Amino acid sequence: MEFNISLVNRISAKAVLPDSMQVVGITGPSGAGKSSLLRALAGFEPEATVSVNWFGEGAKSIATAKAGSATKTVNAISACNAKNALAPVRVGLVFQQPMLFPHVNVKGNLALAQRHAGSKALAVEHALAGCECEHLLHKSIDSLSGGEAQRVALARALVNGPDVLMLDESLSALDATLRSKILRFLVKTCGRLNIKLIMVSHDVQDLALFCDGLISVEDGAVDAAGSVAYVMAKIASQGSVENPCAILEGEIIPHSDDFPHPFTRLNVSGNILYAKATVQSDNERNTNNNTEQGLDSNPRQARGKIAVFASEVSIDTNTQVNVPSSSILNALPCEVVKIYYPETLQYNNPQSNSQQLQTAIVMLSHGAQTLYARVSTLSIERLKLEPGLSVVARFKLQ
Amino acid sequence: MLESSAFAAVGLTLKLAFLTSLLLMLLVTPLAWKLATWQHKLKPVFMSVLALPLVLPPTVLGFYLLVAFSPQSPVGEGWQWLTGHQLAFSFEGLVIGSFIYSLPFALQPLYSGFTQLDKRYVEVAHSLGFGKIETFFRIILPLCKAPFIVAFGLSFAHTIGEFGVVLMIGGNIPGETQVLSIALYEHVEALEYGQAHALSFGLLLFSFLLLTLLYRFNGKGGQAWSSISR
Repeated sequence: MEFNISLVNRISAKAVLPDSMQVVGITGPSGAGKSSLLRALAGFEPEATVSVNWFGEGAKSIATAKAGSATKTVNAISACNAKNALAPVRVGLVFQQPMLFPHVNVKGNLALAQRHAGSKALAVEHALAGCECEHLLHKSIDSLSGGEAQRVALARALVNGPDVLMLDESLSALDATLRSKILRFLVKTCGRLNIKLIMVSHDVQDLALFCDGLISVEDGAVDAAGSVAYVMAKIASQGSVENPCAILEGEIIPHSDDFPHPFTRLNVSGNILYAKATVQSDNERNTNNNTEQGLDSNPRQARGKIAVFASEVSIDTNTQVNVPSSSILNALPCEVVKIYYPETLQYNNPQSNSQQLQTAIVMLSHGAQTLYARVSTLSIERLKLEPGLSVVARFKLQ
Repeated sequence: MLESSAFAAVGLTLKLAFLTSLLLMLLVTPLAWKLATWQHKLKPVFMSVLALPLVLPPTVLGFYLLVAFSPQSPVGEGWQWLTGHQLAFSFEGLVIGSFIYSLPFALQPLYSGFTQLDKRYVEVAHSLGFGKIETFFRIILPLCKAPFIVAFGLSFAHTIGEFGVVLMIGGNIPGETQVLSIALYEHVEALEYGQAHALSFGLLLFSFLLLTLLYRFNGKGGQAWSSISR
């Protein structure tokens, strides 16, 4: 996808992301213009100058192929443009406030959304089940709680079937477990139906776990855009996120009776990590309809992702990973890459010029994977941390 | 007890009130929607022009309308050219006069209803693929049901109660321009107090019932009324 947006005094944003990125997250401090950016992208800001290409060359070539006769290339392209103009990309936007129509009930809202259901629309039962709101079908809008209303609003958008679905903090009223369950369903469904998902969330972990790409917005401009790892590294180095979040990928070890503990085990290049929840399996993203039920022929191959917050990570200079010496279960041998002293993390205490109160972000690498640790500058001095040093990152997982 | 001319006056009044309110709904709705989203430094001027009939003595309004309706003025002349008869002292003239006289009563509830309506409902409707007309009938109209009922009811009641404007532009032609309030005035002039009592009490009862109904429809404390100065 590619966009270039300008809105006088508020937004001047430009970004290009690979079209293969199905789920794109937008992050940034509050007031950075995330919502305005989404509104402009959705075409709700009449004063904004918007040029956006959602599906890039892929969509164009499909349209050209449809336009037929290969001999007249020029005509085919103009026909394709005309076709695009006739059938514009449909954008669905779900706000933080669910904006359900209060004059009809939940069923009525879904029925209104079905009136112009697109080719990517989901059946009502399927959408309701995925958004965990089957039991709400006959309820009036007034009687819904905040979280219920947000789920119904999401179901309404899915029943309508847009080409691009934008979520502006749309699941903020849900607890973490339910939110990640619904996000999992959403990412899977959008992958299957080729719906581009753009989501704004204050939850860095959600964004890191579920997005393919990230856009970081600051002061109405795009600060960084690209893969999750790239953008996370950039915002971590600037200190614009207080607690950056890293993603580790590995193979999920299936449950077996000889390991009776309530953990999901993840094999990250030979190191076993123990997570309680929030393992996002890549299999769920499979666009192949045959594996929709999650029945993979070889479950040993299942890959999973976990999010690790910098605040959960401690650094150990004793590099003997295989000898358990700490109650913290997870250990990963790493190398120190960089140490950042983001300004936003420094305590502004004019009375004291002590450096020991300061906090730093240590960027660690484990092979190609990156981890962040938030430690005090005192620890850095005592452990003599410096780039190139081999250490062990120990961390808790949720 | 009432004579046939009284029945004619009642019928004419109801017809006038209904036609006026209907026309107001049709024409003022898009105007109110436009105004609710319009931002311009001249907006206060425009708004006060539209609210003038609220405060202007009806005779002033009636006088200007009479001048405009006369066959010598461009408006009256144009009407005569189009229809073949003159606008002053005609039922059509009364409709136009009542339209202007009652316009603020239709505009105010709709305007405040539209400004209070969260525009994101409209955005959601558009994003769900609704066209403009469809959004109006399926979303805006049901969401603004109360303001619409209040606007219609107030225009209706206010048109029934008008006197000064009709006196100036309508004359007193039974069956054509003699509305209830004028007929009542006639009876008092002729010292026919029995007739006057019957008409007055009928109007009083009718207005009371209509307002009670409106208050019931406008359940939420009648906020649409607060913007109306009488």
